[in-house]
Amino acid sequence: MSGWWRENRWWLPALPLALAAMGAASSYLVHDYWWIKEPRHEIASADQGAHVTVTDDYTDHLGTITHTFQVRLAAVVEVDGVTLDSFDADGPRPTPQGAQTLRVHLDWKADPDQFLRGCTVALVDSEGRRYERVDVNPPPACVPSGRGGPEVAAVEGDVRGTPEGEDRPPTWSTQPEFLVAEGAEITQVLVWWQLPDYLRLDVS
Amino acid sequence: MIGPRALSTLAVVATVAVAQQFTDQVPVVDLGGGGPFVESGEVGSEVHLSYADVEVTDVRPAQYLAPPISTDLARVAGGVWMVVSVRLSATTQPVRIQNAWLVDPHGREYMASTRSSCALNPRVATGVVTYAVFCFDVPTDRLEGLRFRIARGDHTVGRTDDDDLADVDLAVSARDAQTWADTTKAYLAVDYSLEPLELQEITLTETGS
Repeated sequence: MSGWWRENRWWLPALPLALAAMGAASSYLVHDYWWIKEPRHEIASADQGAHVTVTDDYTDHLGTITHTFQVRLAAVVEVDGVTLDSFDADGPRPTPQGAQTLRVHLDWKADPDQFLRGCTVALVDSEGRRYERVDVNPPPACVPSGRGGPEVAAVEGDVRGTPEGEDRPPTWSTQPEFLVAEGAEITQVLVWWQLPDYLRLDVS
Repeated sequence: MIGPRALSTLAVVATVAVAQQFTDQVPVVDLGGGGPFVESGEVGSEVHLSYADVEVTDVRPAQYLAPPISTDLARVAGGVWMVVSVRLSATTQPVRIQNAWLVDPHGREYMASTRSSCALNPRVATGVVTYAVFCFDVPTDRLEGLRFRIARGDHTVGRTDDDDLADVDLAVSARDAQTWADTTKAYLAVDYSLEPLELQEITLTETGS
């Protein structure tokens, strides 16, 4: 072994470790700007018609909590008209040309103390396109309207708890509505609260 | 033994210091790319971006834009309102458009007007058409050769880099520019919708105060 190699015999193996440490130090960018931007981590899945039990972590201003629930994809059906704004007194509008309106029927079960407000439901078609609701003031997709159960502490000063009169029943159904491309074949329903974790329900 | 090591350490520190001075003076961060990927088009033809399809369907001038609430006062343009109608469709997932702006042949940029009541940052649905109308207040002597640009990244903070950007020639000729500068037309301002938007020309009435 020449003098240079002998002199650096410890530094050379340390070099890849230093590079790895450097990468790790910058890895928050991958987390903040990529990992949590999309549904990437599947936590549970089920076929249409089957109940699936899900336990998921949820972080609010006060810390991490866990919620557990059961959900079943009952049906995905085409309907006439689309609600573009639930606050619009004129009601649903005709489905635009080149589109179709789909209503997803979801059946839920959970203890009344589980935090389930604020979810997102999306559809995925056979081409991988993801659709989200177009209603600018949509009703809740995962809890009954006006009876959503406990709220998390979203910001400083908030407390966790159920607003008076908004206790949630042990079972309920929701029917979120979607506008999708005409002829699109919907293959999956995705549900999530905090990305990247999501639940996949396969459409049959 | 200590002498050469101290010298090496000193050399490393000196190199870092010199490099720091260099990067402070020269914008090396921007070397080798970083600009947006520009997809060009013209009025009536679709521009395909990685995240959306964009088509400018109509361009017209106006002197006034009336807010949707009929009792509010109409907004008069400082120059001319350039009213640009656009069809948008997200490609793979819903996308929020952060900015639309016009650029003149000299590179001057005009952001979509916040006082126009027209679209600013519409949320575009997947696979179906979102109709949006963007309004820009442009000096009367800067109308010729305007181009329309739109991107999902925020142009005001340089977040359009390394991403697709649509660039549409609005085909405003010298003759158009001359006549458009004198327009007295007034339209009802609209922003964006999943239903087709039609620009409605209106007649303004004086309030007397």
